[in-house]
Amino acid sequence: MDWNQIRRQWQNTSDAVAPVSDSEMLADVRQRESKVRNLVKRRDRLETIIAVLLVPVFGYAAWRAGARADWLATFFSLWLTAWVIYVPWHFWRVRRRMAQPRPELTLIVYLTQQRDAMLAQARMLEQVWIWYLAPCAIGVIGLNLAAAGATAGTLIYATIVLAFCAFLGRLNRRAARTHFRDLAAQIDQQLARIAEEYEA
Amino acid sequence: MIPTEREQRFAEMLRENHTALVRLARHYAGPGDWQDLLQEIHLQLWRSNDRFEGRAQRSTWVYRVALNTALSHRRKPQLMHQQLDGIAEHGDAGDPVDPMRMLEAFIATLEPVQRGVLLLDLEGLEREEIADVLGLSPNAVAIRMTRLRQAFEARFLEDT
Repeated sequence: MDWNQIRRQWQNTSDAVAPVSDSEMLADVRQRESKVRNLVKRRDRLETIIAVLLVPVFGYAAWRAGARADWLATFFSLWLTAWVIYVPWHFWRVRRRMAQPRPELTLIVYLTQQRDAMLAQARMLEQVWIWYLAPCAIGVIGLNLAAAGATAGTLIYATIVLAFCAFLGRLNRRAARTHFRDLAAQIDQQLARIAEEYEA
Repeated sequence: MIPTEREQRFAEMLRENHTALVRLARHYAGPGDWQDLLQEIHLQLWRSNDRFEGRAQRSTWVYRVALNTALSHRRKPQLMHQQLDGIAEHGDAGDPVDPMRMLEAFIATLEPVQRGVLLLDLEGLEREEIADVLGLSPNAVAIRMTRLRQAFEARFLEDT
């Protein structure tokens, strides 16, 4: 049996799967598409709702502290207000910059896009200290210091907050390494193998 | 819901490529999840449908989206049929062995990109079209295809 016969036989195997009707198939595609859209919408909405709920809380605290001429509390309340606005904006900006891999492009371009997206995700998680945890910790500890003064209790509170932030930071770094950087490395290996086998 | 003209064209394109897409999904996913992969391919085709610019042939574009989606389907592919050794022993015992079963077993041993090259060739795509799907040179595809065929023939078809 030669290769052309094998090809013909292959193309004649139907795999015994009857095609679904057009309406069923379109309904399935529509449903999956709207599921993906809703997931993205829900995530964006949740981040915005949290910000909308927290801005008045910290804004009011800043106003009250300002009225009492408690400038330290005012400063840290405003700091936290700015932080709750910054976080959803940061997510929105990072997602806009992160190019979505486009499967209609050639394999090499698609794999490169996928790898870059993984690395961008990994960087975002690795930098969580800078844009998420540290500003939050500074604000919360500062507000507590302004309210209670420099006491042993404030020190204990600050230690607990910092320890919790360090724990979250480590979890994020670990996720970046074990998930996104590992996947990026796998894609890199695949790209290297393609270069070696097909472009030599 | 009445399908729009765009949806009708899309459904027609899927109908034309249904068998090939099923075969592709089956060779990149396990028996339990190939239908998930097939539906994911449909979704990706739908989502990138508007970006089809007509520079490539429609079928090349379909295979490109399908293959890229399949390669991203990161669950480990499982062997769908008997292991290679089992089939080889079956043949050694003098029993007739179906070449399609041998081919399936051979495909299951290939790494994902090689598997893609072989599957596209089996679907009847020319070297230039395979090269276009993958973004490689036709010459590189021709060399790889020759090696794959030789490996398959040396292993299974010598005595048939």
